[in-house]
Amino acid sequence: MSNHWVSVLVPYQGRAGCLHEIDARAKLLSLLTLVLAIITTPENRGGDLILYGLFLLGLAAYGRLSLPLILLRSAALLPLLFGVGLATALSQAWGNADLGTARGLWFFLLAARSWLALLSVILLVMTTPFEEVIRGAQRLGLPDVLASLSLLSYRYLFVILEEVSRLNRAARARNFGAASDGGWRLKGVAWRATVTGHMIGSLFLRSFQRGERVYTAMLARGYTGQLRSLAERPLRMRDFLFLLSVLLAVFVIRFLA
Amino acid sequence: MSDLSIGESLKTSTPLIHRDLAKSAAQSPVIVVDGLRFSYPSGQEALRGIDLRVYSGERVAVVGPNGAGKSTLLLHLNGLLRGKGQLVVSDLPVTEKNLRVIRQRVGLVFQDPDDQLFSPTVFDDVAFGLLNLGLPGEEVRRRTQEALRQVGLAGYEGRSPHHLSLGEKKRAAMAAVLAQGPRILVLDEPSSNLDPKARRRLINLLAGLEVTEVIATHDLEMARELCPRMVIVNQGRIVADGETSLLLADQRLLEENDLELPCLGRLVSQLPL
Repeated sequence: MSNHWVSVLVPYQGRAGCLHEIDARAKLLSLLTLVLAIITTPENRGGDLILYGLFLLGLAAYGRLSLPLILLRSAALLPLLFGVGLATALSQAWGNADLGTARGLWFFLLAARSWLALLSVILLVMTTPFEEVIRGAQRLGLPDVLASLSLLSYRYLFVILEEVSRLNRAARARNFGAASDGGWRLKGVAWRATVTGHMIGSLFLRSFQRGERVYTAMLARGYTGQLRSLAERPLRMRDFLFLLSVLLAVFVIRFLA
Repeated sequence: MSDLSIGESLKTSTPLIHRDLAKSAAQSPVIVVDGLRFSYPSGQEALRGIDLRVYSGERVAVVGPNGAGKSTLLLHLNGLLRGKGQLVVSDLPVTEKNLRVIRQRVGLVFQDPDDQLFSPTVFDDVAFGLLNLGLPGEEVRRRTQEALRQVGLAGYEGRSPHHLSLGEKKRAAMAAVLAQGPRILVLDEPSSNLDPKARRRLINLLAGLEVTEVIATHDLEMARELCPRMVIVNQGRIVADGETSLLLADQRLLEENDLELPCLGRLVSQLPL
């Protein structure tokens, strides 16, 4: 698989850092608290968002994470913000001009809240392997079925992407989509859409068959419908301290700052 | 040795038997298959009356053309498919009641390791079967580490399967099965798509295991090196069962079953050794 896909789908940075060693449950509860606090920040306390931002910056430094990389990942939010910004600008143009400033502030707050919430999530996924996030969530009450589905989907996402790239390569090898492809212009969009549809159908069938084979392999090793895992590791003092410090920071910013 | 040609053998359903049956009769079989028949829901008849005995400690190669029924036969040995006929594995008839024990005793390694490695990490995958057996955590950890060491993957515990090479994936899949301490190891095309080095590691690994092995393969060189006994399956029937070297020397038999020894193998098989 191309390194590009792996870098997009595996945000976890495997180097040792202080945040890496915190239990996923403590990190998930901290994330939940932070995100809830950020997205419920009242409009008249916009300054709080700067403090949340500084706190997240501190966490990133504590976890020895690369700031440029975090900012790059957060760029995923830009298309969404662009859409919302455009809608706001249009409604401003067509609506009451007096509301212009208020709408501008609303958009700015929305953008800041979303961006900070996304940064919090990025901090979590860069310091916690995906399976630990799901296992942590499972121990905090995520239903077993959803946890199993998430883990299996994540595992096979890579396999399916490899299948996609093989299908693409095979198609390209026969000039499908090439710049010099006369067929593309000659046969038009409908033909191209049909071929792509067939490829998607083929991918679905392959995935379905693989699903059957994976299930057979699970049965062969005694699967009875429940994905078991080793007994959970108890939370340590450092996990409690981390959670407590996040809760304290949120409390101070929200109620005392 | 039977004088039947393969064409006659297929018509009369009488397999070519080269084996010294008197010698086998002294041992008790760990796999007994009698008159096994199986059809897929599409109506395709995959097995048309298989009779097979595999004895403790044997390494048996199951060979045959694509669609011959090799994989279907293997899936029966673990109770994953249930056809008509008698099937006794490790002294237990394959019934719903015995499936849990049979699946512990018969380790099945699939052709595509991506089908078998479904957990997020190598450790989780090897531990999967042990956890299903309800073993305590310490035992699970110990056996997992041991199995990974056995296949040369110590230190790979935290790796994701998609970061492994194909050879490593195959060995990880093997570790996942070996961790359960099977008495019988059933492997479907273990050497397919492996580079020569990975193939050699796999052959050495299989040669060093002290379990009964049933190996479905197209790799006749590997079959000759690993398995003293070979069973040729074609059109859902066993058409020959005997000493690997004898069957591989029968050029006509191989050709009639769409099998071919690599060039070097053909030369060696013709030497008067």
